[in-house]
Amino acid sequence: MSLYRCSLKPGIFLNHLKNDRFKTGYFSLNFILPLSIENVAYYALLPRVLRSGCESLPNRRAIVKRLEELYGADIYVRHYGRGDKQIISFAADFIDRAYLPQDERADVFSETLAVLRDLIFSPIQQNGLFLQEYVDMERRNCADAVRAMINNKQQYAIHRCTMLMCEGETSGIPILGTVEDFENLLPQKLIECYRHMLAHAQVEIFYVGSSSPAALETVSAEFFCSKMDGRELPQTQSARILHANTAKQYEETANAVQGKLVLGFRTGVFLGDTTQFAYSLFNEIYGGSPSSKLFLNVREKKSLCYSCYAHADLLNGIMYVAAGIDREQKDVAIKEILLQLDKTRQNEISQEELYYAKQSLANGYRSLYDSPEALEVWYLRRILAGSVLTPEEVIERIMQVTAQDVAAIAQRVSLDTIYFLRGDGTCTDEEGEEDD
Amino acid sequence: MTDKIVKENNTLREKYYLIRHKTGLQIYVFPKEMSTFYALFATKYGAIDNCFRLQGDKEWTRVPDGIAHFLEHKLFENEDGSETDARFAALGASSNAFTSSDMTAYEFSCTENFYESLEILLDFVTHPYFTEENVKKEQGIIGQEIDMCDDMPMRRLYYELLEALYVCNPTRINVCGTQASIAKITPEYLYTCYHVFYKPSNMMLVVCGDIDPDRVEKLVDTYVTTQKEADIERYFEAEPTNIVQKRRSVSMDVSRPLFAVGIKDTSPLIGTCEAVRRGLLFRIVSDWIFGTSSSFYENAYNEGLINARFSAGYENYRTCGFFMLSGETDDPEAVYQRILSEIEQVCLTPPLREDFLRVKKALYAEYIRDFDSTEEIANNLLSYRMMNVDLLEVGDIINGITYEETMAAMREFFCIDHFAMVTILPKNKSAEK
Repeated sequence: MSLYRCSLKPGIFLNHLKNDRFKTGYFSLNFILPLSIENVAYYALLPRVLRSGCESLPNRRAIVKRLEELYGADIYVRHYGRGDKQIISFAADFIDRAYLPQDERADVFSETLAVLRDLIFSPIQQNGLFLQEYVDMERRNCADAVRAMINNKQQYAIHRCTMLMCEGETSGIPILGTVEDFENLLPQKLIECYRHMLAHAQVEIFYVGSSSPAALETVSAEFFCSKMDGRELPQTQSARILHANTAKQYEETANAVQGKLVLGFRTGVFLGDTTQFAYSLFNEIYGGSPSSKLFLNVREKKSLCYSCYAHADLLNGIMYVAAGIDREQKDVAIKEILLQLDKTRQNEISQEELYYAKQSLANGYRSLYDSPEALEVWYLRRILAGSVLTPEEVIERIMQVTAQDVAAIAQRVSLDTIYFLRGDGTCTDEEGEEDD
Repeated sequence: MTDKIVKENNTLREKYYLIRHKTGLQIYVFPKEMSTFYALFATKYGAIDNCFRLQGDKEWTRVPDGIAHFLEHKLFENEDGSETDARFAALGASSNAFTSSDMTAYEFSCTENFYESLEILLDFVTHPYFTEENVKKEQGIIGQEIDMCDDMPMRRLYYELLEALYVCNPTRINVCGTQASIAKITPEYLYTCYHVFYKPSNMMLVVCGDIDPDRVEKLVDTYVTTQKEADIERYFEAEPTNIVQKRRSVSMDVSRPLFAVGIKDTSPLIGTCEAVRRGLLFRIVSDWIFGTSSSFYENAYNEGLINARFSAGYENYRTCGFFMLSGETDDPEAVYQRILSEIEQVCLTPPLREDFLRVKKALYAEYIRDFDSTEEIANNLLSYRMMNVDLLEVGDIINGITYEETMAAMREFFCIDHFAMVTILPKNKSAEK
């Protein structure tokens, strides 16, 4: 199964992956724009407003009813960041016609795409603005989502670390927006952002399923391209920070039993660089699996935590090491995490470790073929990085990496920020129980 | 003697083999041409099984809470000092395990070397190795896991709801145990539990992928050997029909109040294979009356009473069942009253049949979708099997549920005496910048 990619109009691309193994089909339309503090909250809000209703299906309930009729087809809208870009995504999945009962061979595929089309291109407008009721409802939900970040302490700690580490950089833009953004939102600007998106964003369409590329070209042209003109894409590249000189330290407290430790690093490597393959192996060996140095030492040997792992975002050139620990063990944990990095730098990498890591990555990449969403994530990241390789091609490159190469990568990685969310040890108070 | 049967579903174009191994182990081989292979080796032994004896024993054995989960962690340790994860990693397979109230399962997934990986799975699960030293080390790791879980609001909410609904049903027991209970765990306790519950007749092997059943059976012959079997007797205190508390509340570092409304199911069908049908029926009810296409959801969402994190569903366990509605709101009491009046309304004036048929159709479609993943297939096959139901018959069960029986079941089930609500209220935040 290989990627068939073509341009339908300037700036609008179709990515087709033929796959007969699924009982479902997957289709998505992604609008890609530069990530900017000026409009990030507007684009976070926009897909939620569009998902609230359109001319043909004027409210959420009507939309869901329609999708249920189409044998439980699903439509999801999302807004998220990828490197210096923000993506506004509209996706659908639906049952393949072959598995519907004989008497109900509805054209679920086109009918679902018609719903997607209407949601994107035919929102309800009043006096040249989106329906105020929907805007107000969804901006309240957006603000709630920002406030709710604290509910998940681990993610919150990673978020805080990123904000502190990348202040003033694109990576430091809070992708969900801020509570103030949603309080001060201008309805006029929201609809301008919407029009800007339709006219100027890079558009990437993905399809995974049993239909042919030709069929997809036809249906994409009819449903989506006919609504949009070709566009010229700006060539932008935000500044890259390759190295941190000194490590900043921050500590905040929360009402929690456990402390959350996050170490933020600059990787010095970006997706698309020739060193990306050695980087993937470094991450795997250092903290990417239950056979990694962090897992085996910080957890298994020192019993400091339940989870300790490294995660890299090579579109931003950032790596995190995160661990949930007893609040008294902060210094011990930092020391052990950095000790394992030093060992990797000094090429204390056994042949087994290298081999296991290669096997583990290869297994993960081959598994992608069983998930349409995972395939989309894989290819979209690589399209953004300007280097589109198949999972097999990456496996081939990974297999050539040596322990020496991995140590060289580890030497390049530099600690930028240490963040600790100190739990105060009192997560709950029982209150007001009443028996009646 | 071993026998092998084939189960088929022509509409889905799926089939699997059931091999009843001579040791009593049930082996399910679900052939599926995908990139991944997935295997589960599971025992009907979870957090609830804390008091038991073998047939013929006089005394009951009671063990500390959280021991099934502790045992799951410790089984990854080997006598020769090798790391189980590393053995899988050498083959490019990734392994994991989970413990629930009702069962413990060991799993791996891979894209190559399936049979070699299966050997490791069969080998490590059949070879326990517990020492004072390795038990002590795990107390530190699981201690941190317990702290982590205590800080997760949705998980707290779930256990608080069980506390409010159940007087003594063991599903209340936290799967991880508590700091105090895991401190009592010893190698002796672990061996006792292992020998009682990890015997082939209490276990199932489920594999899914491009797999040959005969090769699986041969491997099982090598690693799983016949044991003299005495039946396991489990002691569960009889749960009364009443609930414990109508309201229960704790405060945590959360942004807005979280709520969970629970309705205790007192039906005698619980614990039988009919409970699966009942669970599916109430799953339809939850989508029909409280799902995103319901008038309840539309109104409550538009008024800002609930948000997209609202969910409703029926939870089905070996020893209990309950209906649960949860979400975030500024006004839990208002949501509670709204739920109550909605239920009253639908029991008095039956909602539209066409709405019922539509959500039923969507549920059936969801069932079909789950056949797109080897992991989903294996996990679903296992959980239905634990309830003595065949995965390939679930579609027919869904299709067979009628409007009339659903209305009747609702009217009988939604009894105000069995309703409870728990909330997690925000504390003053100190971490916000």
